[in-house]
Amino acid sequence: MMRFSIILVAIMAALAVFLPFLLPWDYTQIDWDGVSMDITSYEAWQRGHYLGSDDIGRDRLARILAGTRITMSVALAAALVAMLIGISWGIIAGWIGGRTDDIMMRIVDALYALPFMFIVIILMVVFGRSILLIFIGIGAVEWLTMARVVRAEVKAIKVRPFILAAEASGASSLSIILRHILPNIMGVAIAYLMLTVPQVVMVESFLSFLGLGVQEPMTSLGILVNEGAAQMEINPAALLLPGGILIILIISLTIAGERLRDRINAGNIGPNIGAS
Amino acid sequence: MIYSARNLSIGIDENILVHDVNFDIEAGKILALAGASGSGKTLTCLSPFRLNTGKASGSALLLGQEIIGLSEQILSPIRARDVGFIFQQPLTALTPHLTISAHLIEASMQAGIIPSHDNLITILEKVGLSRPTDKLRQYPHQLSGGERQRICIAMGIIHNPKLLVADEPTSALDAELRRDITLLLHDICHENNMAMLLVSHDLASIESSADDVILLQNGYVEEQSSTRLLVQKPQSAYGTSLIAATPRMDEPISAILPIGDKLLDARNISVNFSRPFQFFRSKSEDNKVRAVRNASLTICQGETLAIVGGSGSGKSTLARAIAGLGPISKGQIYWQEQELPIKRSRQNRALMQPVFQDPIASLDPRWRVGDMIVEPQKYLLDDMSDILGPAELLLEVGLKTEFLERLPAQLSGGQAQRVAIARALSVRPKLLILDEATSALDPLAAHNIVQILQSLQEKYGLAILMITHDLALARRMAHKIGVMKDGQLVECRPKDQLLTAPQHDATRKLIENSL
Repeated sequence: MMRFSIILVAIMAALAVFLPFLLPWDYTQIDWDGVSMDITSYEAWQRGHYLGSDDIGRDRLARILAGTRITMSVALAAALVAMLIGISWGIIAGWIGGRTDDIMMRIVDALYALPFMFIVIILMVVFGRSILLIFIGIGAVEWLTMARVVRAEVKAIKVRPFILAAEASGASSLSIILRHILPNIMGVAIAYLMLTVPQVVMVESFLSFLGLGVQEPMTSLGILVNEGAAQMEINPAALLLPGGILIILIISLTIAGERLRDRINAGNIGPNIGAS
Repeated sequence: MIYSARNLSIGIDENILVHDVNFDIEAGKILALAGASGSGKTLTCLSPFRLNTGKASGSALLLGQEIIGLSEQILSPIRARDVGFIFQQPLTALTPHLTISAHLIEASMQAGIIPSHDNLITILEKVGLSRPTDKLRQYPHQLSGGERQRICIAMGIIHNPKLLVADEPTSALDAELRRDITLLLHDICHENNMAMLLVSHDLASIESSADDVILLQNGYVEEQSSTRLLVQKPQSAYGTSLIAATPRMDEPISAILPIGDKLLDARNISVNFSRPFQFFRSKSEDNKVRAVRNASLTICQGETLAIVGGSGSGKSTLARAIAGLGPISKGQIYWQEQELPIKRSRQNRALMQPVFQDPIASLDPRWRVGDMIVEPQKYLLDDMSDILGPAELLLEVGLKTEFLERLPAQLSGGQAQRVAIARALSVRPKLLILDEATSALDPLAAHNIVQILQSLQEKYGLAILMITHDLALARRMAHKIGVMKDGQLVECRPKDQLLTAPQHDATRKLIENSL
């Protein structure tokens, strides 16, 4: 199941990146003679609109691929940013412990409590729409879970005897963190990264659906779903195609992430030595 | 005859893991199954009753009735009525939100008996618990580990079973409690004419309770005889080595190596911990847990000092304070007359290296053995000219070079502990600090570690500070023995003096419990 979903996501990513080169139309290009072409019409095929065109004559297939590409790259980049902040924050809080830990984790709690959508909307209104702002907005929220997970993991590893042994070996805090703690939390961190990506896909699509995401003529799956929803009675394909891709993407990523997490958790129990 | 087995074999899936075990247990007798971990002891005792995944074949007669091949529905009432079970973990075997009386009533109801209040009190008295009326109203967390194990025993015998199956009932307890519980089980069996099948890897507790012993190794019966005969005159090679590997209080004291100049002098060491979760923190002394109080000790070159004590006596805390790995509240530590700072320098750390109790957990699961054992050299040594390389270090602890590429998960407990010792040796320390370094290992592996340590001591004049709960082991290895009780080092003298003329009650009690 995990392998299947990873392969599915890989195929979608490959198509989104490479297929546009083979298409006659660019996703921003307007075909004045082929506006609102139906997916089933022969004429659309003849003009190279294999999935029809939208109401201002842009090729639907090209736009769906572009949207998938944008959504996936935003998701991956934002998740990586979240992972970076989350891991650093979690390691510092977990390793130092005590009051520092208290303060750092209360900051996380406070950020959790903020109404996320509201903040993003205000940011968008004040600074205007830009991809960078979406990164910041999403990254600012998604690292919180990562920080909690990493901090808990660090606290658990910190008291294991091999850390004490490293301390007796004369290793400094920094080298203990880099050589002993980081490699041991990486598995968990990567599993949660895999789980963060679909969440970010969701958030980004939601923002785009509301009209707060990327700006025209760029597009994303959320924008396409929004456009499709407006004309779903006359042209259901305009909604079903981007919506279907979004669903497959989120489900595959979630399944892959959860399987990976379960596998790593199972591995962490470790060998059971003797009865003592 | 209460319970007997003929050609009992046990397999999981297609693999046969226990082969052809035969035994008979009469009423009032105790049969012990002994052997290293993984030898099939637990399978042998639980699988015929369908209590684990093992599948039994052959014959097992309980009160004359064949129980192998019975369906779960038929077996379950028999098991509930005629057999009592006691498991290993007294700390987790009780349900936290139920009172002791609820536990006992539930256990009894399984056998179809609803006990009266007087029954419950009687059973608690029988397992040696004081103030039984109060105990019935209490919850598991209000009782100590030993008391909880007594409750587990009470739950096992409340319905007067004919057969009691005890799977490592004492291995989670410390030495003092271990002896008490073993004697209790022994008495209960005799008084109630119960047969008992005891599983244990601890030869000392088997010796003090069991009538007969079966020694298992890798699923085969190596030796089967009366306990007395096994201890005095083991027949099989495995039995002989096992008996030799287990330190005994009555064995002759082995010759000890000469000692050199004084290396370490710890004076008036105290370690206090502040109690957690207190709203009003005061600085006063009584608000602190005094884990170690005014302990002083010296160690010379080539000398082994053993610190013996029960769990919670502060012996590990003292060792960590000396190693510079734990907090230290008061006192000074001198190394060859020079005071060591609280924050140890690299040179200080290279002088003494620790080895911990749980060998596998003390190795980073992601590092290969070869990298792991030279890690301290990188941090602690300035002069890398005549150091031992990873292969030579492994040779010192009797491991072949093929282990260099292994990960900790691919090592047995004994091998992992040897790797940990090799890592400690890599910086040529003068003093090794062993915190229960052999207690997680089975007797043969532990003996092997002891031999390696002794040969290293002879070769390099290593000083050893060992923390242990096992007085017999201390007697075998040490020059000097220190006894700790409630954070105080009550006595610390050469071992023959201390053992023949103990001056403190704690020492006397310890010696008594170790016999």
